[in-house]
Amino acid sequence: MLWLCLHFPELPLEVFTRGREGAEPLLVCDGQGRARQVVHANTAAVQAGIVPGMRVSAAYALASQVRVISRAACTEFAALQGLATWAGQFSSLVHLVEPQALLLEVGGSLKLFRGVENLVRQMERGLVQLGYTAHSGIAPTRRAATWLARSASGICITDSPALAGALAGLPLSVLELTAQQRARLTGMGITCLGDCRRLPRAGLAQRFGPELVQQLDQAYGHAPDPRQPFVAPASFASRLELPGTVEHVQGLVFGLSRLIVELCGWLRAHSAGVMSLSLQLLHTKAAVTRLELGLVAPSREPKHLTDLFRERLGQTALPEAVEALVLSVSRHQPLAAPSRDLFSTRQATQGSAAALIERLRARLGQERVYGLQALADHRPERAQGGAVSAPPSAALAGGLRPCWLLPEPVALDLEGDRPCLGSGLELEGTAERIESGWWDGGDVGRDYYRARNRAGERYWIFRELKPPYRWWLHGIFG
Amino acid sequence: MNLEDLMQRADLWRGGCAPPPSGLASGYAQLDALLNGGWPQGTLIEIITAHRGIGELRLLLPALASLTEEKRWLAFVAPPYIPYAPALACAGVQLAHVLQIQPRTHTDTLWALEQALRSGSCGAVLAWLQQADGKSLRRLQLAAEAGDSLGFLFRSATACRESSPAAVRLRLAPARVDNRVSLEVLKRRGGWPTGPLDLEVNHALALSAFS
Repeated sequence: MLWLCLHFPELPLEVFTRGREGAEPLLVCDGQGRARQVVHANTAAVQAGIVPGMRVSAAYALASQVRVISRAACTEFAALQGLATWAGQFSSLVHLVEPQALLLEVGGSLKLFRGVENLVRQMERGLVQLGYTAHSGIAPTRRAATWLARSASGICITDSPALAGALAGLPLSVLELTAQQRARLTGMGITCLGDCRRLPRAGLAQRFGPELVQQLDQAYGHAPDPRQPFVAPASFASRLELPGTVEHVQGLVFGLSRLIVELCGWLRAHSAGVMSLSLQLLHTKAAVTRLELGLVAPSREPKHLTDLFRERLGQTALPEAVEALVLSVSRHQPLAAPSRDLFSTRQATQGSAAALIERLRARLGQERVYGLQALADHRPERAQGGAVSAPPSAALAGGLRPCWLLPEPVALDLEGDRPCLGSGLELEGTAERIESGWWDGGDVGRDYYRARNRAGERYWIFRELKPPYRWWLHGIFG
Repeated sequence: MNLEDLMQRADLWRGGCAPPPSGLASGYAQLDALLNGGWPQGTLIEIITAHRGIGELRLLLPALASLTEEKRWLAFVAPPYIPYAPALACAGVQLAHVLQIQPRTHTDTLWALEQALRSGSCGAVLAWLQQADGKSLRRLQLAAEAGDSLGFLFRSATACRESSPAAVRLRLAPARVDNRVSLEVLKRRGGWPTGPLDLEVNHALALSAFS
C-alpha cells in the first residue's frame, strides 16, 4: 500500500477566500473577546504587517480596513468533506485526518494515472482550480505520509527501506504532542525524529506515555494503524461562502467554477454524468434565487458546465447581492469514460452537437431550439414535429411538396375568379386532393395546386372543398 | 515588401491560376465547375435574392443531404418559414441531424449563428439575416473557418451593393424557363464574377412511401 497525504495549512482562511479573486486584507481569528488572536492572514494582510499569533486589536491598528472573520470549525469540516469527495476520483480509499488533512491510498491508482508524478501533478492542478493550497507527502504508512505532508518537505517515498532514513530528519513539530511534552523533548536536546528513535523505548514510554511510542511504531510500519474510511455522499450538494457580497452576476462565475470542479470530481468518482443541476444563490434578506439547468446528454466536463451557467447567469437579474452559492445535483446517470476511435472523429462531433444544443438552449430558452421530424399524416401541418434526433418514421406517399411550409395558411385575394399574390397566380399541373382527419376533429378537405406568379415564384396553394371555397397559400417552393 | 515576399503569402489571390479543386460537391456539375469543385468548406456563402419560391433552398439540398449522411448536423437559424420535414426527408436529408433555432432578437441570431458555425459539429448552417454589418460578417467568417462549417447566409437584394468577407456570393433570380433558376456568381475564389447561368433545379419534391 502507498499512502498520499494532502495537508491544507491554509484551510481556515481558504474556506472564506476561495470564492473570489481579490486582494482585500482578510484574517481569520480564534478565541473570545479581548483574547482574540489572528490564526491566518491572507497575502494582503501579511503585507500590512499582520502575522498569525497577533491580537486582533493589534491587527486593526495596522490595517483599519481589514476584514475579520471568526474561525468556523464546521465550515472547515464541510470543506474537508468536500475535498474528500473530490479526491474520490483518485483513490477508492480516502480517510479524513481532522482538522486539515486527507489520506488517500494511491498504490492501486498508479497504473491508471501512469505513475506517481502524473498523479500528483493532476491532483495539484485540481487543487489550484478548487482554490486550496496543499502540501503532499507520500509514504508506505499512513502516519509517515501525514508527517511528511505536515513537514511540507515534498518528500515522496515509495519503498519501505528508504522510509526510516527520510523520517529521521523530520522536526518534532510533526508529532501529535502537547506543548508541555514538546518542551520537555526539546529540553532533552532532541530536535528530530531520528533523535527520538535512538532513545530507549521503555524509558520513552514511561516519560511521555505509550502514545508517543505507538505513533512512532505506526509511522515506521511496526504497528497497525486502523482508521475509518470516508464514505462519499450518494448525492452531491456543496456550499461556497463568498468573501464579502457579490453584486454582479459575472463575479459569481469564478466561485461557481470552483464548485463545478468539486462536482466533477464527485461525478468521476461515481462514473456518472450530470443530467440536471440546481444552483441556489443565497441573499442576505431576499428569497433564494434558484437556477435549474437541464442537459441533453450526461456530462462531467467542468468547462462545459461553467459555460452553460455563465449563459444562464447572464440572463438572470439579481434581486440583491449574493452571500453564498449552493450547487446540487438533481439527477445524474452513469457515464462511462469516452473510448476513442482510432480513425474517426465521429464521437467527438456527436458530443459537441449535444454541447451546442445545451449552450443555445441555456441562452435562448428551451422552446427556441428544436429539431425536425417527419410524422405519418397526410395533413401537411401535421406531417412534422420538433423533436431533436427523433428516430425516422415512415413518411406517407403523396404528390409534389415544397421545401417551405407556412406556419398558418394565409388567405389569398381573388382577381376575377383567380387567386392572386402580388400578381395573378397561374395554376400548374393537376390538383392533389387531401381529405383527412375527420376522426380527430382536425377535419380538412382541400385541393392543392402548384401555382406561379408573374415574377416566376412558385407557391403551393389550396382551395377549400367547402363553401365559401376560399383560396389559401400554404407552402413555398423554395 | 518586395514581390517575392508577397508571392509567399497564402492569402494573396493571383488571377489566372486556380487553387486545387476542393469543396463539397453541390450536386450540380455546372456550379461545381464555377466554384472549383463545389461549396468551399469553412467559409461563408451569401445567397442574395429578392424573390422567394424560386428554388433557393432546393439548390442547396444535395450538398446538405450528403452532410447529414456523414452524421454532421444542419442548423436553420431564424428561418422565415418552417422547413417542411417530409420534403427534406425526400431529398435525402437525415432529419435526426437537423436543428432549428428561432432567436428572439437580432443580437441573439448573430450569437447563435456564430456558436453553431464555431462548434465544429454543424456541417452547414443556414441563416436568414435582416441586416449585417461588415464587422459581424467577418466574425462569422472566422467562426466558419474555426468550425470548418459551411455558412449559407440568405440576404435581401440590397446586400449586393455592400462589400462582404464571404468567400462566395451568388445572386439568384427566377429563370424564364420552367424548373430552372438563374444564377449569377458575384464573387468566388480563384475566378472572376460570371454572368447569369440557368441551372436546372426541381422545385418540387415528390413524396414516395418509406423513404
